[in-house]
Amino acid sequence: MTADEELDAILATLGGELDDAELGRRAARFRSALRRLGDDPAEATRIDGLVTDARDDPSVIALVTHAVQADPVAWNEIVERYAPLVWSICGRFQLSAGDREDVAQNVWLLLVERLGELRQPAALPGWLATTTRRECLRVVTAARKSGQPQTTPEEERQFADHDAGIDEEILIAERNAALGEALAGLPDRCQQMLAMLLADPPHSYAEISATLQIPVGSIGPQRARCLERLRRSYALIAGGPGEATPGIRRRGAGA
Amino acid sequence: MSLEEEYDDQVAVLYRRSAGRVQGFLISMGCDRGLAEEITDDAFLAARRRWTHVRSFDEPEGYVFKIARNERSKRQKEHDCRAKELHPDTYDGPRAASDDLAQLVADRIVVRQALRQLPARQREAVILRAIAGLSEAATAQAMGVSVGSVKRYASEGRQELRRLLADYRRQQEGNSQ
Repeated sequence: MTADEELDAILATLGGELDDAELGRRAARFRSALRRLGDDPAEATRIDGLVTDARDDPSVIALVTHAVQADPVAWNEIVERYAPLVWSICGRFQLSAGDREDVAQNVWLLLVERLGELRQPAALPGWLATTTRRECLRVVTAARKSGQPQTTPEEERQFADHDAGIDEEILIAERNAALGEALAGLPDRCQQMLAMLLADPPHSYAEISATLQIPVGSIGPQRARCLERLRRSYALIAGGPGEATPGIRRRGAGA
Repeated sequence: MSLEEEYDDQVAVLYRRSAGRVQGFLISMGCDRGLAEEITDDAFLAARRRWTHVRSFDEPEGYVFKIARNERSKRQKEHDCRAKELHPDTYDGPRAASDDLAQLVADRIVVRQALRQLPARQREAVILRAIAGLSEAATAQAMGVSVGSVKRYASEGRQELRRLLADYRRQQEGNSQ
């Protein structure tokens, strides 16, 4: 036996092979862990927090690839991730709630039809933004034709300005996705506290103190620690500047 | 059967095939058994959450090892599963009943201790390749480095292990004379 083979033989005895009985027990336990993962959103959030490397995240590209193959899980994730983007663009056109729903529905239907034609999967957010804007304009134009209040040239100019704003919308949507991922990676107590502080309207310190069962005096220091952790992991995920509230740089601004 | 159930089954099959080796890797890296079990299960659950993405990999277990590796370095600080001095009594393996067995147990202790003296990346590469039985490509994925680096780390690590093992043997012979 060469020294190399001998080393291999020793290393092989260091492995952690489970015997059949133990593997059976562990596999059964893992099955129930899988069920809990499906049933309990808090557990799902905890497990998602383990994936802190943005490169492991199913990128837009992977999502689009799977969605093209009619994978319903990928579809759901696309809608979940980009619904806020579609919604906020509708908001800029000051559509009624009913019109917004129509526009959103049309956008997703168009996406189902056209997804296969998308040359660059990474361009999905941009495509969604443009399509949403076009659909919003269609609704506004139809309202004008049917004799409802007309848009003035001033309003038309405002709509044109929205084009510039859409880049920001996309940036904000991407930023929110990264921020959500960073939030999910924080300890439960931090998540709870930040959620209560970020709520609109924010909860009072007295309410936070009662819910989390911590003295009012320690909310400030704990908040600072949680924000610091969030800032660090967000910077890691987004590769961003690592500010607590990163400013959105407008393309071309300052040029 | 729904798609979600189908995915559950696929991950459960992967678990049966690879859980022992993921756990073996963690224990070899110095985790105690309880923590190693916990991290092993969590790493497979993480693969389940990303299964639409992970299932398209050539070797999905590389992803599981990657999560396990990251979690070990994160949780090690909390649990302090850092290498404690190993003592023959702490072995759950067979007691030394014959000279051969005594030699094997002694060798295991030496190699385990020698592993701890390797630089972190060499140690990981040797364990993932030789103990966990990963391919070079899956090891590269788990460690986030190139296949070329895996080859280099593993061969340097093995060379150092052979040297330490030989040193120990010489020392032993010296003592017995």
